[in-house]
Amino acid sequence: MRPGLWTVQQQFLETGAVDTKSFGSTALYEGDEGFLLFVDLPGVLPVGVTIDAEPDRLILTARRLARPSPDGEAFFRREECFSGYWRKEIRFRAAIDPESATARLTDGVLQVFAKKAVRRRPVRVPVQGSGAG
Amino acid sequence: MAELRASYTPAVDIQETPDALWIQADLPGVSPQSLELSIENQVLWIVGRADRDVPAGYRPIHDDAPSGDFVRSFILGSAVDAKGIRTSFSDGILTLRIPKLPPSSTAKSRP
Repeated sequence: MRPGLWTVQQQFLETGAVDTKSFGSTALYEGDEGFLLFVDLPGVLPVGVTIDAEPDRLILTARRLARPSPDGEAFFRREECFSGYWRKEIRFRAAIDPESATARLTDGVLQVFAKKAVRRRPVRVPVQGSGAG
Repeated sequence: MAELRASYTPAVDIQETPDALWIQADLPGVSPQSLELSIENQVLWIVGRADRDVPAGYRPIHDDAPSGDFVRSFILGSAVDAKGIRTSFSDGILTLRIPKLPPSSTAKSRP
């Protein structure tokens, strides 16, 4: 331990227990028109996110770079926040239209909307021909 | 502050340099307007709320993301300069720089 830091290390204490990892956690909502997905990606820039939309799923990746070191020599007293490469697959219970997917990243939250695929209904085909009908 | 009821506790990194302590807290979905920092009896409080803008008619089918009110607190002690705290907030990350007091001014507080 470096001299001069003892007081700080002893006194800078946390006042409560902590058990949380929020990076990459998701909330998925369903409406009549489509699905709305929220993903917590604090510290990630839009260029660090990829989204591949398929008819039954989204494949999400994100890359969060390590926090820049503060000025001068630094060491971690506590390290709870995620950094590195993250991937998640979200499957839908109804087909989506991949072409309709849109996304935006604001305040560390990725929001993705995808419309449900238009359901193809069976069609009765009329038969044409000669003869009494 | 003791009456606060938080639904989750945000994750933080704490780094120390020779001159300061740095706290970086993951606060996705938190707007600056819903964030409150205060110091009370040498305790630093980070309090706020994370909200989602969900259109009417949409129902949750999965949710493991923390939302709602949060709180996290730290005892600053007497070795830091609480009045010199600098803050910044971007991309869902709150950064605090808490300068240390010079060793000579904290010598009396050492046991």
